[in-house]
Amino acid sequence: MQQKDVPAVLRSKGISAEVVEALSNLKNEPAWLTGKRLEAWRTFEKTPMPTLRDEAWRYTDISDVRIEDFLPYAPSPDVTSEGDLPEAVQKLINEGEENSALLVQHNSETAYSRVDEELARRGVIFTDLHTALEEHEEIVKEHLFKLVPEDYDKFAALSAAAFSGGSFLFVPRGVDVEVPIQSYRWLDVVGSIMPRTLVLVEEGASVTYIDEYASVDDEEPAFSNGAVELFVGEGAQLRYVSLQNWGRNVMHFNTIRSSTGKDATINSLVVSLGSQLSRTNVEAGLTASGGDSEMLGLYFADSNQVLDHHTLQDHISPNAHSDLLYKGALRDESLAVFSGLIRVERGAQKTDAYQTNRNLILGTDEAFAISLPNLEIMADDVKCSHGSTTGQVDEVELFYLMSRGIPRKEAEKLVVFGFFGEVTSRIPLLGLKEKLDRAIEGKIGLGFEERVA
Amino acid sequence: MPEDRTIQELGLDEYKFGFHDPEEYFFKTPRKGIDPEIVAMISKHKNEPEWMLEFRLNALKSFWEKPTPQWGGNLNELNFDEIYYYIRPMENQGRSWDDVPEDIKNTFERLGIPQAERETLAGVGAQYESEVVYHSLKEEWEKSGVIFTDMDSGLREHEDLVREYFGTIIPPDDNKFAALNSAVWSGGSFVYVPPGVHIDIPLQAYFRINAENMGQFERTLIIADEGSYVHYIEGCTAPTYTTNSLHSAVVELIAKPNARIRYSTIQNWSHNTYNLVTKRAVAYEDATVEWVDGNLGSKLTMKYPAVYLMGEGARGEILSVAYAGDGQHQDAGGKVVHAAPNTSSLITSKSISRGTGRSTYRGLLKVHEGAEGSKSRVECDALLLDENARTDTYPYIEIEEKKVNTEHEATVSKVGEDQLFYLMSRGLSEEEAMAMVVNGFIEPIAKELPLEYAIELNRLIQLEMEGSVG
Repeated sequence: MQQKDVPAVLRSKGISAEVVEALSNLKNEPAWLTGKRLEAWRTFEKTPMPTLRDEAWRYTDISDVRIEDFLPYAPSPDVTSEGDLPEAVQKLINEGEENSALLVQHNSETAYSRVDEELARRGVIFTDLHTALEEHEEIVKEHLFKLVPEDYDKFAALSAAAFSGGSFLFVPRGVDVEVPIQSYRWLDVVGSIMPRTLVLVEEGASVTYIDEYASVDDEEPAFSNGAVELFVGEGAQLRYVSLQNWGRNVMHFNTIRSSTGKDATINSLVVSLGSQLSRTNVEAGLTASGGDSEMLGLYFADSNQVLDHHTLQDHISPNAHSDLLYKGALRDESLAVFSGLIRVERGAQKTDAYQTNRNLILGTDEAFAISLPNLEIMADDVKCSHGSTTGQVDEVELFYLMSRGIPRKEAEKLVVFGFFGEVTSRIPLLGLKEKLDRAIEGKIGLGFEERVA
Repeated sequence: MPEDRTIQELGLDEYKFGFHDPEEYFFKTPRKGIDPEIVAMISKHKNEPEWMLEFRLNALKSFWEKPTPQWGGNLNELNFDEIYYYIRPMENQGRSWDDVPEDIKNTFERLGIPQAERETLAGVGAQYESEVVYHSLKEEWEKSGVIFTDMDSGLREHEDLVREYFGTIIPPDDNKFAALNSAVWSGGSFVYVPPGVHIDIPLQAYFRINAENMGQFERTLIIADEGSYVHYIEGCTAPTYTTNSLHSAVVELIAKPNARIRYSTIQNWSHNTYNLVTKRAVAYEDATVEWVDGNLGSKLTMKYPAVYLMGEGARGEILSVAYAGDGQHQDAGGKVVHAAPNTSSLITSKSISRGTGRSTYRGLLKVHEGAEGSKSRVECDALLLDENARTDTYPYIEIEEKKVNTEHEATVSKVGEDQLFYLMSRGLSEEEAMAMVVNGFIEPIAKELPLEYAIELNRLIQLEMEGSVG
């Protein structure tokens, strides 16, 4: 869409009921959705901005996030082939995992999408959310906002009111999608991006979906606010990856919630590397017996970044299993917050739930690691444990490597790779693994001792 | 909310001219609720110096300003206007043995506690006195310069020492309940151990004669001077019966360089009591502070003994055991702050939840920048005995220093079928087997207690567990 085709109210800073309505009109939405957006907007207005006084925000200061300073909507040129996408995006695609379907959201709009014929033939749907609303309204209506409702928190309310772009993935019963499906969110203006992801994996189906966030570095702050809803049907399997690598001007807020049917499996991986400040809520609802949720996290904070992860393993039904491993490295003056909760509801007997958080502080006394591994257990026949450690690179390990003739910097690098290896080795995606290794290497840079000394 | 009034307005400035007839100034009958007048009367009744009165009145202001905590246990039913803030020991003794509830009497009976002692514990009799033992110990302590007295006498007889340390570890505005205690405190112990003195026999408030022992708002201050050692035991394992529904104590410990303090408590308040206690210690160079903290009684306990490691090489250890039966919530844990290099700490928590009981571990481990070489370990184990029981773990970990090593681990489990099966195959009933497994579970903490306490603790848990097997 051309900038001139965007209604004036969407071209000035700040969000209001008027903006929400104009956006809904622009997207030609059904009345129920316009109503829903406006309701969410009222919830947003009613909800105070979280402060350090709120338990869920006690370490993450967002007092300088001013939503009224951001443009609510930024269009992007329509593109007919991958070759016409911005070069940086093409590079991301080429360096990424091989894919069977692709969607690129450029700023507030979908610039390009493609689904392999074979997949389309088997009934797999992968479009942006607006297209899905036009073509598959009933199924979208049934699921949208169900896992991340407007009253989840202030940012979820904003997402429900002002989302734009996003993606909808539907994998029909029994369909096994072997090659991953990939979406990219690309931001190259100073403004906001508010994608919403809705994934439905039907009974016995399986799929891998990768959501990647990247942008050009800019001076002025930009704002990203997302919501991800993942429905995994009976016996189905979903691997979901969120790879956040925004430029350093972006404030990123995202809530990822899943529900699992009987004997369903979800493997999630949440990677946080970029942004100035990033707050991600990852919640797995074990809503039927036999569900299995693997939750992996990898974060690396440098300079004055704030990377905050709040996780929940919500065992509602008996006989479910969850296993969480979040590992993070910190350097410079960064802050990393991990707050995880295993909640075993009444009656969720035979629950098996594990949670581990490990932090590695690299060559600095200015970094600050917070770890809050919490448990709330209301059933007695369960196996639950959690662990948390924080420390520095082990001198003994370094000494060993150096005694084998490896220079200190290389040795440090190896130790950090080894640290993250516990997470990356559990991801069966080679392209993604390589991407992560490169990013980690970039973060380590010249070696961390040097910069501090 | 009552208005704050100055000392003059209350006519208390006359205090400095001497105190003639306390009765005249004191209430003929106890009064509920709290206001500056009550606070002033407490101070006047105790013949306190003016600075303490000011301390109390300032604390009262903090108490009013501070919000009631919204985290932890449910305090909504706690009505501050329905509580007696000061009852003279005389009045306290006015109750009779017949007023003591049957279940408490039964527990005394089964623990085999002598009648005289039972009456003390139930707050209906004079304190159990074992004068001979006490006197010989007292002489020995006095010879080496040890001070061990109730807090009121401590203030009268060692005013300078008390003034130097009182309220420095836990300032009145630390939290709402510390403020309340600071305003209306009465009783508790004052202990000073001179440099190099090791007290071999644990000090027990128990031994003290003619003093208010376990008050509602007792206040304890222990100072262990350089290189000294003391083990202090608060309270006892038998149920402490009170008609009042709030117990809010403040305990401050100071371990000077190379000193070691161990402080043991087994709390067994009757099940109608809110037990909201602030306990904190500072440990200087190479000093050690150990809290052994058992929570069995009360309706709701919120208590997190803390150690601030202020000097290089200081060490803190917290052992916490909690048992939450039907309707009880034990919100306990520990707090360690590493503020100096090469400090170390260990927190071990064991909790058991039964029936509708809920036990919560809530802890903070903080390593400040500069506390390099610090090591810390937190271990929480929870045992659930019923499907309606609940356990929570909230360990806050805040690390600002890279050269550290911190570990936290928690596990939750139920009593294993195989363990029960094994014990029952050896001829134990299911109930006995269950009690044995539970005793084994808390053994690491029980073994840190003096023998008679450990035995009583085990016996008590056995009593609590009776009827737990359907």
